Amino acid sequence: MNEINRCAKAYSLSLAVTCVFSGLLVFLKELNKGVFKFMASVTVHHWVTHGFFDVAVFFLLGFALSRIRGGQGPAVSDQATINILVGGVVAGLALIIVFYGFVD
Amino acid sequence: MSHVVLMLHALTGMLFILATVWVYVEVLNVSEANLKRIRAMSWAATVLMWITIFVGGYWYVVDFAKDRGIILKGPWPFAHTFFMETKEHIVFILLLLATLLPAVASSDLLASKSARKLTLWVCGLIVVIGIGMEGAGAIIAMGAKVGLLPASY
Repeated sequence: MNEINRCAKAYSLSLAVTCVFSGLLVFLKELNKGVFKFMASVTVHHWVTHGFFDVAVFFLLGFALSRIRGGQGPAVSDQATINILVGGVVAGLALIIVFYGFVD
Repeated sequence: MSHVVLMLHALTGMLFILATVWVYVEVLNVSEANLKRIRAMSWAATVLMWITIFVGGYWYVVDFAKDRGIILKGPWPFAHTFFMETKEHIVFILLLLATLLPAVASSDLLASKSARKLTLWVCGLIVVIGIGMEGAGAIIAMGAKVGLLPASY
């Protein structure tokens, strides 16, 4: 039985995706000087741009997911939603720690 | 002035963690009587996190360059190359979890075990990552301090 409300589920899934996106963006901007310069030129600092991208992806994807299936939201079970949320957060953390701990 | 800004960042960050612990404990003991408090505190946590990132972000963009130079020339360069670099990016995950908290806390916590479980997971992740952020902040501050101390100290 699905009991988590539509918006909570949609934005939880969006958060998982955004965490992985943010971790991959670290690799992309730090390993590609062109991307880094572009992000630094968009706002006062590449870090500020990174934050704007993360927040934009989170809200846009969350909004889109909450509207799918005629406004019913994603067809994902409650337990799967929790698993995906935790998995996405752990993956995002791991990508960032691995990059600055072992790649950079 | 920049030191006051930095201390405000640490203060609001700690208050944010405390507010989230508050929500966690209230959800463990959820009842009709504390539903309003859960929702109010989840919003308080969100607002505190946004204040924390705005204040810390201002300090990072405007003032951190001086500290970075001191840290990199000192005996603890890893305070910047690992701890500051990871902290400044992991904070976005924390910001999004904080932003999600009022949405999950608005579910039917009384009737739904899944909604309670999701809210507890979001709070738990916030607290663990938040304490890690506070620790990383302490290491960064110590990196600047040992960079200023004479080598004989």
